[in-house]
Amino acid sequence: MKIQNKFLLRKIKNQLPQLISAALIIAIGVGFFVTLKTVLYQYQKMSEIYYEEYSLADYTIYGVEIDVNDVEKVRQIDGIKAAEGRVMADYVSGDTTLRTFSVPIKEPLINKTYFYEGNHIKKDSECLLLKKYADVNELKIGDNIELKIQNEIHNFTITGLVATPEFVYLAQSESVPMADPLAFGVVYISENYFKDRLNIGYNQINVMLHREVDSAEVTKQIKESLKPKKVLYDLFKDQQISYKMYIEDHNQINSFAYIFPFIFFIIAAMIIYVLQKRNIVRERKQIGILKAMGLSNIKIVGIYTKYAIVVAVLGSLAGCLFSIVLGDYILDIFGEMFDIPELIFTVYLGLWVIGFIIALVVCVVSNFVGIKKVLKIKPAEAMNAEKPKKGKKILLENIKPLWNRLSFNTRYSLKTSLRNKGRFFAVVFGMAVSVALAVFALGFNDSFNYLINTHYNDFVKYDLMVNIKAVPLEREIEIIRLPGVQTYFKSTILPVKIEKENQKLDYPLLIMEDGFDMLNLKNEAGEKINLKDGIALPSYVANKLGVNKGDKVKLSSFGSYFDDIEVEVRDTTLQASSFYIYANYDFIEKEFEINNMLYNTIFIKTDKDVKELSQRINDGEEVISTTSKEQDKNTMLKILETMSFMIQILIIFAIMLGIIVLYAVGIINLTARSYEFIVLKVMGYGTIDIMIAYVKEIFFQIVIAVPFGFLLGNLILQGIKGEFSNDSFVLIPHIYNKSYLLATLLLVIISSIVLLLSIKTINRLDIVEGLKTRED
Amino acid sequence: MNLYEINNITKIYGDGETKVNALNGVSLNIEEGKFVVVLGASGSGKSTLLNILGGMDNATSGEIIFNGKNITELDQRKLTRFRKENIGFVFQSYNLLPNLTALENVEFSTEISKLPKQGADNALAIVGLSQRKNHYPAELSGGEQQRISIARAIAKKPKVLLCDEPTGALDYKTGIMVLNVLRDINKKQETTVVLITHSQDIAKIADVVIKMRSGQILEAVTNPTPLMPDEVEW
Repeated sequence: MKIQNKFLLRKIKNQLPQLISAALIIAIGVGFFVTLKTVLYQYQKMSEIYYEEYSLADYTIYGVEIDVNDVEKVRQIDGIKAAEGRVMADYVSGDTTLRTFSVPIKEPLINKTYFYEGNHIKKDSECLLLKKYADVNELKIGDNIELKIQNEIHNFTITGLVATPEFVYLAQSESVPMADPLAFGVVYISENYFKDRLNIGYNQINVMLHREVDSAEVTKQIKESLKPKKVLYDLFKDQQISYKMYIEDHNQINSFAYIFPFIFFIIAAMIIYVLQKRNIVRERKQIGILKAMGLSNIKIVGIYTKYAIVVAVLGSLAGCLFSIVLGDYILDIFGEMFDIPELIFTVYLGLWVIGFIIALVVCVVSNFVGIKKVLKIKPAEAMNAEKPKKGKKILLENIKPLWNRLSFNTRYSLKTSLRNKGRFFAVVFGMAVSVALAVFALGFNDSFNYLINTHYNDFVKYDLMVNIKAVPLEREIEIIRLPGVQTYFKSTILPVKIEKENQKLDYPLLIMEDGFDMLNLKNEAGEKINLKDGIALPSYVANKLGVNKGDKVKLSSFGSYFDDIEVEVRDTTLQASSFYIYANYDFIEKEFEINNMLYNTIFIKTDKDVKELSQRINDGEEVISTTSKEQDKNTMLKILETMSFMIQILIIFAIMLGIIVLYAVGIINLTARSYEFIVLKVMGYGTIDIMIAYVKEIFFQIVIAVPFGFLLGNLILQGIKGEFSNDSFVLIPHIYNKSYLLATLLLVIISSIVLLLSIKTINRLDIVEGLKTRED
Repeated sequence: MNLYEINNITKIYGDGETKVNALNGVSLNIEEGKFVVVLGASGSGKSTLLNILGGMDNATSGEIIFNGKNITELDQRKLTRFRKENIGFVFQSYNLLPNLTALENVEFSTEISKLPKQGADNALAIVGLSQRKNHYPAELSGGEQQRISIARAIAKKPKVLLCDEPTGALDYKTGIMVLNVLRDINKKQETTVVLITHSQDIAKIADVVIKMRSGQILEAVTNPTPLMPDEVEW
């Protein structure tokens, strides 16, 4: 082996703690990146295979009184690969709601079911049940389930426990995109049962399109072919709630996989830069010797670069290996959250290579920037000890009465801190980064808690939202007379498209009565929103659409409730979730010339038990479903479940990184100062005196680092908020005081540990050898 | 034949109030194969002169011709090559690489100069430390470390050996041992040796003694009867 390489290996051996900490910093960046990208790839791959193999419908059209001939007409249109009619209806089963679909006795071609257990139905009295629902409700093959259909109980025997690409996320509706399987499930019963026993016809057609077709053109033809029938609305695959949730989660994991490793790598680069810069200062004489022996700058830089490569190799290898354990764990959790069969962990070697290349670039570049001073070192200068820095009075020294009252120990620690600014600020920087990471990670978590709290405590004021069959506005339905209904407001919720120039978005339109106070709708000035002669939009939607107050937008409704019309945006609302387009009845009736306005939703406030009232309301004849604020909140928590889980992982990583950064900077600081401590010992300063001065120095550093850490953590959080806002919620950066406190406490604890390690090191310092071999 | 021709070199450190004239118009010739001692008190400029002769530092002005080539015109890359091919250094504080064994320290020198590794064993044999070759610097005495440092310097067969107070950190007995090694190398291998010291007694072993003070050469005296290292006392 070449001596240069032996030299490198021995250098590594002697600086093992520094090397390990640098490699761990890289391992965290690579580990986080490879884990998340692997999870993302596998999640995406398995989902896409699932969607493809089990034929998630490309397009679904919802209507009434659709028959076999209509389906056949659709099937004949050019560009259609397959079309199937289906019945979809929600029925009550005990305390739960079961979305019930019709299936042919032969297996369907579209939205096929994946069988975890059992077989397809053979008789009309049999059914298939979503396994997720069956598991939590303790149902198994052979068990019976009861469905309350048209006020009669119908029994079905379970023959198969299934999953379906339509319900990767158990999406009950737009407002309940992740339902609780204890309360909501999916069941498949035979098409004949619907037709012959219940006399219910198709109300949807699922369509698979050929890949290369113009989907807009084909769907236009579909609608044309169904013209005499009443088409309510249509959905493309990417508008299907579960699929939309999958895309949103996919994008969020993707953002996680890029943004956080990027931040980690930037921090890793900065720490490696600081470590190598300190190494160069410490190894100045060795560099001088090598130069005196005739080793060129390139070769010396080469030795340090190889060191950086070793850090990159070890770090990325550790990170990649760690990703196997963590990735497997995350996918296990995902498997519990989403219904994707065969979602198992696989190693993507390509990602390992990418992780390694990133680590290599980070290490080599930051190393080079850190050591570039090597190029300028003249061997003659390096042979001699570095000239002491010119002594300079610190600011405090000019305040004589104060300065003179300080003990020698305090004056020493103050002057030492400020004499070697590079070293002092390297530690301050390390501390600030650790605090920033902790503040950011904890603050990220806080922001979501804040979102939930403000939204459900301050914004949502109703207790129950009841969906009913549409009835004329002037008609009062029975349920409002139930005891416990304190106040109520009627409203109409319609799916609409809102359009501004080329930007088209789907949001529900909430039409409300005057005085509606079930949502705390306020604009940015904190005033009640203005709905006079126009609509109001949540700020998030307005920004997404690129509209301001006073701009005109086009509204179009599905199912020809009203014709397309241009309306003015009168106001914007500040809210974090539950995005609607807001309008009042007066405006809609006048603008759209509607005389027989119907309402389909009732918001209720109650002073009684919400659950009990909800059950009584559900018995109402016109009632379709009821959701309580608490259920909505749980739904939101469910939506945030993936994010929340990722945040927990992030917090662990960020705190680990913070600890390693502090440890690395602490170790290098301690090594660089051993000569100074030896001199102090020679002068008769005991370990305790040195430690007291050291503690004071660390205290000054903490005092400076903490505010910078807070600021940096806030800036990172502000910087990523856009990436983590979507149609379900908007991330509002908000850090609770306890997080600031925790981050500071963490810094104090780690610094104390480094201090304790220092005692051991200082006690072990060999004065004689230390003075002899100052720079070796 | 002159190995070095030094013409009016100056070296100024710092500027303004901190300006120091370390060398102030130094001119001299060093003949090939000679044992030259540069004698002077601390701050006389002898180490600065040695560094400039070895291409470890640049002169502020003046020229140095080494073996017919002006080395003051060389850039850092060429100076590195110059050191690699021509110069062996011996320092007062040995400056061995602590992570390498005695043999590896010497081999590193031959590796840098792209010479066969056997040169390292021979060099260790010359300084009488073959039996200690696998020890690390921390396991060797000061005298042994200095002899390893000499072995490292001579292993690459330099034209000149520049020694900066090589006995400064050693006791008398060890110092004599080191001087004997240097004298042997000078005589047997005909390697030019330039040694700096502040000891008048050590200067007695030199063929030529150059006395310096305040960055200037006071005199350069040829010693017709150099003593053997064993004959001097300090």
